[in-house]
Amino acid sequence: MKFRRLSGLLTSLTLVLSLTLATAVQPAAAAMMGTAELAPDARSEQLERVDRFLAREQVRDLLLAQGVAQEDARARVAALSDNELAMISRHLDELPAGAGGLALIGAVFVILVILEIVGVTNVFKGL
Amino acid sequence: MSPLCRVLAVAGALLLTACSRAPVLPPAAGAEQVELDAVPFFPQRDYQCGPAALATVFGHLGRAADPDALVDEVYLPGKKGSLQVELKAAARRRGLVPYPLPPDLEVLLATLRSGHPVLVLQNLGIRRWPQWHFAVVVGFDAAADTFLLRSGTTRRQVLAARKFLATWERADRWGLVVLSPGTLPPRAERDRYLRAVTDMEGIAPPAALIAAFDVAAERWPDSPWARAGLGNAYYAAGNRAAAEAQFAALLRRQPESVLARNNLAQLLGERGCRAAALALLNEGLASHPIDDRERAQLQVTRDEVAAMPVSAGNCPPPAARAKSPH
Repeated sequence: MKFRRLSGLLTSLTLVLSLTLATAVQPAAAAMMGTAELAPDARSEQLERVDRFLAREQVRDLLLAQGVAQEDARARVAALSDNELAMISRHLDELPAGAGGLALIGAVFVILVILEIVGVTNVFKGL
Repeated sequence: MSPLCRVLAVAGALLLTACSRAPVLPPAAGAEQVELDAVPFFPQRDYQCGPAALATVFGHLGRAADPDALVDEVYLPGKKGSLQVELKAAARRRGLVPYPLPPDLEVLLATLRSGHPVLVLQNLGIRRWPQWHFAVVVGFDAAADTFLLRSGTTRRQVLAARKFLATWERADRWGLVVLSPGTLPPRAERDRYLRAVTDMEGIAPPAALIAAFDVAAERWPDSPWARAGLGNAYYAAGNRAAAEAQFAALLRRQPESVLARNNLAQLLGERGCRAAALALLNEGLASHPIDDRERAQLQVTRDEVAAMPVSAGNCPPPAARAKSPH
């Protein structure tokens, strides 16, 4: 019982702390309106403060799962716009990740070699 | 149709088009040759073409460019690659403007002509099995119908224009110019540019934002977006007088602008002009058609201003500002 009360206290403490941190990210005084309000797509793309906080958390977790170090993940998320956060949190799996390395197997490789020879693709010279 | 058949069909179709060898670079380019020789080169290691390509364009602007340091900013070990949006974010963090080019060959050529290397995404494979790759285009040769790139481990890659365009096309013609703040790209599109700079707000140093919005306000003097951005940049830099001048000018031109009204009132309140600030806010709340969100914002500001100390400074008369139509 005591333990449960302690963990509840800890949870609310963490929540309060992280909310404080989230508002600290805001650039100007609370009463100033940011320039993004004037973008043509402002109403559809801008996240409410709570949504923004959640999107940041979500994308940070995704970056951590991709093997990014904790402190780097925080800084990387902070440099992304609302649109970008929303896009990554929804579509990370489908987004192109420029690599330029070869991770191919079997049939795919053979087909690419053929395409390369007939001049359709440019996999091998580009590396 | 099995996947293999489909691939062979696609390959066949591509083969047909590949046989027509009309030059790809437009005839208007004539025998034009452009090569940005001075653009540095950082050979890519492992799968890290993103950091290498970024270092190339940063180095071109005279910024510190170390691909190894950039790995921690843009590389995703799990994907063995980098995302386009993270390349933009890395530029923002340095106070540089990441301007995405419209997907247009003519604009790519114009950008190279004016001396800017272009970071591009290529799909070196096919749509079904993509091989994503970042490289930097540094020139073209119209007579030879080729493009010149810094790519992978090749310092000066000469690529047939037809081949380059095919790989670029398969990556939806994505290209990025990284600009020093205060520089506009050739054929700059207003909203495209302002979006890029607005996304830097709160991330780039205020001085960079001032320069980047200032050049936009000069080029598009009628753009409320550019002027509001400049006002907010001055505010972030701590230059309240300059910020106030921008919002006052914007409100004179656009009395219905909630942002101009709200931010001007906040600035007036901060320098002790409570009466003038409250008059602006009350007028906004009473007379303009505003939505719930804007109403809530003006009310927050009113509460904040009402709690600020009053000083006997040089305040504008509360009514004069509200009455002036233009």
